Amino acid sequence: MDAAEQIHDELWCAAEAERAGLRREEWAAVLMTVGRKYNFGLLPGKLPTQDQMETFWRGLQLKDLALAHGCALGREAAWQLFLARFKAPLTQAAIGITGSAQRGQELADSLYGELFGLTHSGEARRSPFEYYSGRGSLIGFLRTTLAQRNVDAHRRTSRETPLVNQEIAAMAGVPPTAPDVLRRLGQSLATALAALEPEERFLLSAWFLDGRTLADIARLLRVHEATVSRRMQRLTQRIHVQLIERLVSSGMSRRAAEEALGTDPRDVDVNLRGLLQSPPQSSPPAPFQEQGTDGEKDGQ
Amino acid sequence: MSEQLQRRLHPDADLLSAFAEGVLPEHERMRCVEHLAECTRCREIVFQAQGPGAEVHPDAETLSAFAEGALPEAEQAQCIAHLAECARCREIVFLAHPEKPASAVVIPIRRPWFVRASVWSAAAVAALVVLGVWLAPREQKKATEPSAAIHQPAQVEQPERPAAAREPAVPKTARTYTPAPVAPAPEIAGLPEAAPLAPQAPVQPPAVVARVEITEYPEAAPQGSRLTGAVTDASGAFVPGAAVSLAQRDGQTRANARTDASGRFVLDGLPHGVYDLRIEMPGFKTSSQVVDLRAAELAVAPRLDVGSVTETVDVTAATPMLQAESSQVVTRGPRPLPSKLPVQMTAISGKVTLAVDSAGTLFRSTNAGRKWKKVKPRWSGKVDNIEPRESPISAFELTTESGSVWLSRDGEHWFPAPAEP
Repeated sequence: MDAAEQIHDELWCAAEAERAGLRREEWAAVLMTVGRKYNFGLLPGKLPTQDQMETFWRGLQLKDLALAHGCALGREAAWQLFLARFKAPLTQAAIGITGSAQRGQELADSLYGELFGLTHSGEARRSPFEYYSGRGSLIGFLRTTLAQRNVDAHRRTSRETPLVNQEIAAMAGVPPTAPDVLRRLGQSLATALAALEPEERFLLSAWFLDGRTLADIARLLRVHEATVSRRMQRLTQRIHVQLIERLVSSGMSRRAAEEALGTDPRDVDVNLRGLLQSPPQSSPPAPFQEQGTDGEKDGQ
Repeated sequence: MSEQLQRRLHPDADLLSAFAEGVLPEHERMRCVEHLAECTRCREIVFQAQGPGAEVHPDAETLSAFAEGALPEAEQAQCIAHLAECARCREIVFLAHPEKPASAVVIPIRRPWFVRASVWSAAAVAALVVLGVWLAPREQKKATEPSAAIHQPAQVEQPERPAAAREPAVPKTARTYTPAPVAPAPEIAGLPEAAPLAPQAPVQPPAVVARVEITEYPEAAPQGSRLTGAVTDASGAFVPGAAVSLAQRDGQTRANARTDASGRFVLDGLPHGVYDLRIEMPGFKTSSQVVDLRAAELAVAPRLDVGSVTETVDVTAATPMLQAESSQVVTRGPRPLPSKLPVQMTAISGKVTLAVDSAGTLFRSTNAGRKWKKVKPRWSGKVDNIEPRESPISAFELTTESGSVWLSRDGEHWFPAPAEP
């Protein structure tokens, strides 16, 4: 038995894979598939050593991984375990996500069928459990799957209200800004936003476009609320300074630049959502792994 | 303009959940952040999945069983794992069960070199245990109410009461009252030396009348009349969490409710008649008044008086003065405003407290009033009113004396409110 097999055996016991109805060779196949999919946590192109492979595997949620793949293979023991552990939490999470007991129950019920791999006739049985890698927790994966279904359903059935068309009263007593100033301001803003790092654009998108709270953003980024608040403050201040510098370098006086920054933002012709969410890129981004649902392929 | 829909693949649920749990290597994490910066759909997914609504907590029964050591081993381990990460559930467990679990036993440790003095050490330990047992009931008195508040579901006659486990005494968006400084009542200063109170006699705060506006629906529905009201104080701020009780004078109808975040209450199914309405709130004098439900419409507006400095305010764990998550209500009083002028009104949302002085100047604090900073006004004129808002766009709404309305998310940066459609 080589070193990899020894590790597989050891992890098979630690994961209680037998309880989930997995055979040793199936478990080994799961570990190798997950490892190769993410290159054992290494940068693409790097070859992993035995130690790195072992470190990657030991960092996985082994019990959750065994349970998920036992369910993906349709093992009854795994499903019994899954329902005993996750039925109530899944329903509770669905209700929390949808905000409604009825819709939450429907969402949870529809997910069970999908998790079991019930598909239209003629297609191979595929379960979302196959895509679970064990890096995060299984309940987190299930919550994200629920949220995915909820968001996709909402986006298919609801219309978005375009923000630009809202009629907002003008500020009283403020003289209109010259068109030339507005043009320079728009260009400077576009340049400043395009130069932001992805994390900074994410912060601005989540705060200004999505209306998320500091607590929500902090929870997702796993930092303290105060950290997010400080980052936002520094970011907006930096953008403010950059805008003034760009306006000054375009020929405006500093005083005129500062006055221009007091312009009613509705007068500035700039697509903020477009700038934050689709910045000009030198090369196209690397695609993510396909999960297999139509809604996600189309970006909807 | 809606976002551009790009025909590219999105990260799957496994990647998004791993990102949200912080277990991705840096290069994958940055790819995720880059995608999330550009994709509203995936941002929506991760925020929904990680939002407070999606969190799964053990129910009250499980937490109680855990504290009492009554859970099977597997569930006990699951509970401990959850409590290790969840401050909310830890707070619940400690509030509900401050005493040691039944399974905990104080075992004196016998060391070889203390064998000769083992008798004395056992006696010392026993004395400590007795002392602890003697002191524990004093703490349990205050803990019995939160135990009841957390484990019992909301009463049917209190429809406005939020979920018990996470219920703060003052919700995040409530307005707070600012009591005016009260001079000692002259009659107290002139009183002869009072006889000492009996140690067991509870000291009740004198009654403080809350301003109540009551409207009655005149239609005598088959299921009874409805009585609604809003409890406010002298400054006009709503008083949430006040206990409202209604007792029919010549009948047996009783009804109870608690005011909600906006100080309102609703009592349904009341037969016509004359009732005694009583409103109680710690820190205030109790309000008692007669309500005649036979009238088509009834409005009552008595004056709110805060308890004087010599009165005892009954503070129990059932009405915590400090909400751990938002630091909303503080046990230490706020400091005066930099302008040295009295506070006209305040508004609280999350950790931000706004205050307006008598000159209409707005101040902001993020530490419950211990330090104030003047807010640079974008409006002209004085501030006439501020209110918290429950909206993803803004947390505060401000109205100037000229009638213009401004909104803000953080109390510091303000923008004009959109016009009503």
